[in-house]
Amino acid sequence: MTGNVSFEDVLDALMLEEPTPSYATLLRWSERYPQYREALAQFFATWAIQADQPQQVALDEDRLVERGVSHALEILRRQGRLEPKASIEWLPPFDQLVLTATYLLRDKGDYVNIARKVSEISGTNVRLVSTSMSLGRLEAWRLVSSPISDPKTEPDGRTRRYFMVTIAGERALARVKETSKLLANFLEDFA
Amino acid sequence: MQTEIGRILRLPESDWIAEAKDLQNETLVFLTRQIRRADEELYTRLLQELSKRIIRLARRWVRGLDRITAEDIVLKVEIDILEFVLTEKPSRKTDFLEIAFAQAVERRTIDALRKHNNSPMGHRGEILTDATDEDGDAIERAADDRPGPEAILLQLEDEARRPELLRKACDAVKDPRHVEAAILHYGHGWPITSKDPTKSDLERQFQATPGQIKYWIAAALKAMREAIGVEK
Repeated sequence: MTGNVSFEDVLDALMLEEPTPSYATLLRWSERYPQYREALAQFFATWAIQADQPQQVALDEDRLVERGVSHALEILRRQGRLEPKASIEWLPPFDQLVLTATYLLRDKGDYVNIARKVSEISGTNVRLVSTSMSLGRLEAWRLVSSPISDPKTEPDGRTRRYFMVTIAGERALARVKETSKLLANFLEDFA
Repeated sequence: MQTEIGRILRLPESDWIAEAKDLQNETLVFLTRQIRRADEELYTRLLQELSKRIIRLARRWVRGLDRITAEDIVLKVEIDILEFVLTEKPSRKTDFLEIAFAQAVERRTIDALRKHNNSPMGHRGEILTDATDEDGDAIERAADDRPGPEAILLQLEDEARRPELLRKACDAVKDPRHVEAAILHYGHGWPITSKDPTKSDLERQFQATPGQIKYWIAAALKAMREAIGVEK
């Protein structure tokens, strides 16, 4: 059972099970994984010595964060997981309305109440199907997202899709606020 | 954690950014792994928070090192963890990050330091050439009428005073191995030598003779005694 386990897996298990690096613990783990006896002894010694080390080191945290994040973003870019910035320069007026309504309902907007909110803002009776199609477009442009709700939190115990404005959507809303007097009135609290 | 994840997933992305600093480590890992495609700003904020936490957890385990070595080790750990968080193929290691983030960081930092200590760059301490200085018996006799190790250890057990005592001991001895041997022997029960070849001991750990190790420990204890103000 223990033959194929990597040393890193052994260390992961060790750190979960053992709070302190005592000698008795080292002997127990060495007996369990004799193939790693020497490396375990070195690991325990390092752990024990560093646990008691009093001298702090001043690290340049900002520089380390920046280097780590920049490396991670490069990985995400290679994986194609980053949304291109400012991909939507101009939104059709109806989609602007739907995006604004979604924002105003925060995380409580489903198809029905977004359509109602759009009707309220525009002063016209808006059809559910038009709202649904607009939400589909906004989602394809990654301006809104719609995670499925947890049925346990719903009054009728059924899952729902609630629409939420994404960060890219907020950037689009900022442009809407600049260009539409009507919608700017509804977006007063939007920074 | 499940409750926290459930709550966050129902919030807009901008709220994830606002709440990132208050989320549990494992929730941050889960969210970063879970979102398959997102705005750079969202990823940046989550990754910044994760990086800060990695650095803060790792820094405790690089104490006593020079700044360049410490930063080098912490950066390696940070990048290693971030790569695992972002890897597209789940594994036991990525699962471990989602259940025990702090232990994963600590384990990697200690292991990175172990590897560093084994490298030519990591051999710390000066090599003592005068063998007569390392006669453990002589040092032990000279120290007989001072408080014994137990008395010092009683003082060392006082956690509030221990860092200061160890700091003074580290300052007083030229070779860090002296304090390290004392910590392992008295603090964690390592024998100087063991007849059983399957059991670890200080002789094998430091690749030194029992006499040398006794000398190192005696030198460290002497420094500690002086640090707690007990003089002959």
